[in-house]
Amino acid sequence: MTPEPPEDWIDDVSGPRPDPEAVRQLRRPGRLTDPERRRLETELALNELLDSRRPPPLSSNFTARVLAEVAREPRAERSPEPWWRRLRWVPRLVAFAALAIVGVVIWNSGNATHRARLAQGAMELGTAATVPGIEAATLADFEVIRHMTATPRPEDDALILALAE
Amino acid sequence: MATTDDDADLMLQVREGDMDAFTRLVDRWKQPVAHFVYRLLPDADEAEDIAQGVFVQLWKSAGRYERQARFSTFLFTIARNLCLNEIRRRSRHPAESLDARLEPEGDNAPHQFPDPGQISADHASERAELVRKVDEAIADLPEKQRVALALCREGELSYEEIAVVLGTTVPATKSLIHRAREILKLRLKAYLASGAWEAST
Repeated sequence: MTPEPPEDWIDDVSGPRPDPEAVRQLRRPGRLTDPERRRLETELALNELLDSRRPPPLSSNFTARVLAEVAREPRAERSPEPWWRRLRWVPRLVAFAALAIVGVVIWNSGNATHRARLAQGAMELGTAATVPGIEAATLADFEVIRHMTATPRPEDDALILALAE
Repeated sequence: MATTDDDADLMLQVREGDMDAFTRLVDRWKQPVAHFVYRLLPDADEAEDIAQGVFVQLWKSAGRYERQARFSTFLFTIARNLCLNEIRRRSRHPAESLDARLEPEGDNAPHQFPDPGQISADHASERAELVRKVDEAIADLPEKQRVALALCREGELSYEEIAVVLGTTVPATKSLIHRAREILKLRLKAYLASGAWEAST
């Protein structure tokens, strides 16, 4: 098994809440090189040295003393909410209103365009109906004619030239 | 003991002035807090007084507690600040004892160390010498390294939580702890090599 990088295993033994199982694994033969093993033992020795400084148990009336002290202090009150935090709903309302306005404008503009197109179509139809010689049957093909391109297509030009020759 | 949602819930109740919830929090956290304080100010009586002050401050600051904050980091930030205040006060007025400043009350029985009769005089002497050396070595560490090491060895907080209490990043926290340990290993080399702490405990 390849040893972990030194930083990782040192963290295991020198950081908070050292894991005894990780230490046991590290102590297995072949897990660490000799210098690493010496380092491990030194780290563990330092842990024991630091942890040997345990304070004596707290007084049995520690909690009672704290409560007596607290009883003389003003009651823990929730700090008043700052005015700007009470207005935290305003940005949301503004964003919602802006979205709604944009939506209405887009819908209105689409509607106006559609109505203008209908009006233009009706006007063109009216104009065409007043041209003498145009029959109702011709007007039935009005949409087809309207979609024809204004300029002749290249293949039409070629056909006209061929016929002229 | 890791912070649980229970602690945050209790703290929210304390914020509303619930004394029962406060009592439960004190009972649950008094030992870790006292150990942490003792690591920074190795005098049992003073450590207990300051630990008591930590919980009084917790009560007074409860109104500022927000659910987003982990209870353990909130509590140990208060503990850290009180300890640093005391350390700085001592450095300004080295002769003044905390006892002279704090009004004694309640149980004033001095703390007793283990009965010296149970261990030999030599071992007691070695132990006292070792404890003194360790205390000196820790006291000589830079302030941030000392606090980081105390929070780390107390075993209640993760690197992430220690970083929050120290107001720094996780890599910076790891670096502080690493440097503190390197300094201590150098200063206590003779004791680490001899295993003196094993013989004297």
